[in-house]
Amino acid sequence: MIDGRLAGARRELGPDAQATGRRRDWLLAAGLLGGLAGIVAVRWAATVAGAADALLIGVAFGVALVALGASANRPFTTPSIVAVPIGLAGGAALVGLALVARLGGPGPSLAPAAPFAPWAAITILVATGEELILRGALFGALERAGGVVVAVAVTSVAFALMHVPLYGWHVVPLDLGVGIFLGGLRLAGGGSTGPAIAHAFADLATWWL
Amino acid sequence: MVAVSRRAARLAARPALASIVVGLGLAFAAAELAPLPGPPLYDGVVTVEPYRWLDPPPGQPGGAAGNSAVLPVTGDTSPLVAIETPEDPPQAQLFAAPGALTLPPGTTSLTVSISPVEATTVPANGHVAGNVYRVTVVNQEGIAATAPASASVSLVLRSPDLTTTEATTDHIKDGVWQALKTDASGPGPTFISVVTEFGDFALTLPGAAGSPGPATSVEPGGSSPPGTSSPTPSGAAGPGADAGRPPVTIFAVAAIALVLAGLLASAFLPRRKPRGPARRPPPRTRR
Repeated sequence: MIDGRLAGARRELGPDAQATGRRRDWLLAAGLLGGLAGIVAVRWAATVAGAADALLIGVAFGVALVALGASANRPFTTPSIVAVPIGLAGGAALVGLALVARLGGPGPSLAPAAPFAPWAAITILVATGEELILRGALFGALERAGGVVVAVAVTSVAFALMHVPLYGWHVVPLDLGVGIFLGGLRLAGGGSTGPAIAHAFADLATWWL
Repeated sequence: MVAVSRRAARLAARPALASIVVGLGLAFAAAELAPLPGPPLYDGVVTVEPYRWLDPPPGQPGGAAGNSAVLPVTGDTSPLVAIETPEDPPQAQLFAAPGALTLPPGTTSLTVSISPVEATTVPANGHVAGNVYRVTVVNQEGIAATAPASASVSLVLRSPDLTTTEATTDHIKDGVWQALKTDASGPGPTFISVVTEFGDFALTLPGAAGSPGPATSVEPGGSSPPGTSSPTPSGAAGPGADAGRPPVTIFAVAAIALVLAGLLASAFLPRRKPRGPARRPPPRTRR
């Protein structure tokens, strides 16, 4: 909603002020993408090197994402209530997608070795951090600078690519679609709360799938 | 005002609905056309234990283990087969949907096993990445079951090298290494192939062990020269195995610099204030 008000306000500014605002937004988007790439690279390097326990690496990854996302999302705005049911419905759709993907029969065991509680906490932390950055600050900056299509496209591509180092290229088509879907939830709910709920919901459901 | 905001809400809903429909459609199409071997996880905790070797190279863990199960058969239909070695993620896994296997007549039970074995030959092209695994599916009389290709009985093998992105599963039959169609199945360097018969299988990578190929070892350790009968760690070349790949510290420094750049950009760029028509009430004036 804030982004919409800013976009509306910008239309009332002069051409110079609009150009300056757009430049700032492009810079912010570039900085966020750079920061996100850095965090993903460190996490990948730490995992590959076996630098620490997987849960510890997950905590560090999640904290770094949330820190970057929270710092870029200032000033904080109260999430709209409508984002909660939107997020839950989105999460249910993603679980349905996972069930469809499983119809072909059993697959490899991907169940994490960690106990459920810490695994769930870290999963929520990571999902929230990713959404704060991608569907939060980055989406807002790109929407103001280039419009809705640019925002959805760039955040979806970033979402797909950031999973490649650890999950492989074969996840790109699926994650691209899910990224666009989460972008739609952001547009429907007006913030990153809906996508964060849907993302965390879908990730948590993998424990039982 | 109410009419205007309703119209604005309708306009805002269009791209939202379009994104949701297009995104879900693309995701469902991807799930159907290129199904993932496991439930999609959009991120979380990635646990990858170090690879366990049957004949561990210096500095690398041994203790590769197998697994077996006896499955009852009722009627003429084979049961669900899902067996894996005990590592996390498993280094070898076999999956067959119910009815996927062609059973010998009179089968009342199936014994399924996966076990690491010594390689007796080496591939002509490339080198073995990890252990050779013997997969057997036999009935109570020791007669082997087979599977039609259409049944998509899947064998998943993990590479010892986390950076492996391409590898081939080979079926070793009568001393001949036969390459199977292989796809990445992640997370981690796991690869899936459809099998129609069972026996000895191994992942292979192009080139000789230790040569720069599509993968290099991430763990320090020694190597066995190409041509030896034991599996060799892909690309491992002693303590300098990481040669040719930037050390972790370079990644870390570069990443931290990028994070700082991102933070600085977001922290120091001035925040815009809404500059629309002033909504503040006019200052009060005393009369």
